[in-house]
Amino acid sequence: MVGSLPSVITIWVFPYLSVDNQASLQQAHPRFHPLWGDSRLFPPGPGSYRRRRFGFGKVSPLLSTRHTQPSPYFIAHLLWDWLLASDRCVLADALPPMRPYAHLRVAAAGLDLSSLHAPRPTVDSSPISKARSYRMAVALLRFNFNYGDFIRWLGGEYTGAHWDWDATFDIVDSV
Amino acid sequence: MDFDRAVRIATEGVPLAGRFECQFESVRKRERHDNGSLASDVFAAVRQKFTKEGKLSYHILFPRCLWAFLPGLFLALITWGRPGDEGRMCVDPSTILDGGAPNDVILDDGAANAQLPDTGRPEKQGLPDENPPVYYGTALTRFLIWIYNLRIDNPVDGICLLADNSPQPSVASFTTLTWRYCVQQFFRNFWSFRVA
Repeated sequence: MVGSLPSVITIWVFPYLSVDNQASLQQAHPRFHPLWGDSRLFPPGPGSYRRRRFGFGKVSPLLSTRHTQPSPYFIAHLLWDWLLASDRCVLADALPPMRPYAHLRVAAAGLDLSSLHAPRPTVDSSPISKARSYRMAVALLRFNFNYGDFIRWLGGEYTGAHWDWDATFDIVDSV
Repeated sequence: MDFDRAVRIATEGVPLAGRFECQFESVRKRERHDNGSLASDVFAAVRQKFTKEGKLSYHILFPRCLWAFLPGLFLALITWGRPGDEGRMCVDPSTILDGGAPNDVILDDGAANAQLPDTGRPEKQGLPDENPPVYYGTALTRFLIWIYNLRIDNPVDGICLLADNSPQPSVASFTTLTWRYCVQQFFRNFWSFRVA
């Protein structure tokens, strides 16, 4: 571990430090590396349980998808908080997808996701926005890769809630 | 009209029911396959198509590494056909991969369409929530009647209609028809009317 260094706070602060300050921190605590530090992640918005039960995007008990054996990487994700920093480093060497995952966790500690609730940018001939897709990935990570909760949190056009359904049903009813 | 069902569709999405289950190894195999059937000369076209499809809210793009973490993920292969001049991208949930290496004994059960009940088989019928019958035989006829009635109700208004506006069952079943001159002419007339 990183000794007495409060690594949870450090990871949150680390992205906001200047390059010089980051270097100083690395010199002061050689064993600290932001990739392997403790990062506590929380869902970006409250109300997941209510959204599962009511309204647009609610859970359908008749619809499910699963793997017959769980993904080892997903298990590693669940174990991540309880591993030592050195073990996380070893794990990332053993399981290649865990290294970008570690980068994703560091980004999740400081990335603002409010832009995902703003109207989507207009599609034109410009390249696909990597920043937006990375924010989507961070949001999904913060929901513990629960895709349903992630979509429910996005809401709006992602769950069909943006249509005027009352007016639609009124029209259908009048026919 | 079944309003309860309509509300369920609006709030829960479709299909209303289904059990999709596969091995994680199938997902891994498909990720390693890396859309190997795509020729390198269409990569730019596929990328351009994905950029264009960004206007659809259900196209959410993620970094590739996330495939390893999503519980219950099914990966669909990408294929590219050339029915017309511009080409057509297809996210293909039907194709099943071969065994691959000689010692590869993992059977690919990661094709989502393979797990849909077949409405055409009597023993699989009675599952309309999982795979609703669409009555292919009359889909195009019903669609044309709807357009005819639309014209009666709106005799002077322009109607903008493209081939993609026709219902999916008719597109799926009658793709050949819609590309034939006689039927293409039918669709094009509506378009010409609007332009005029």
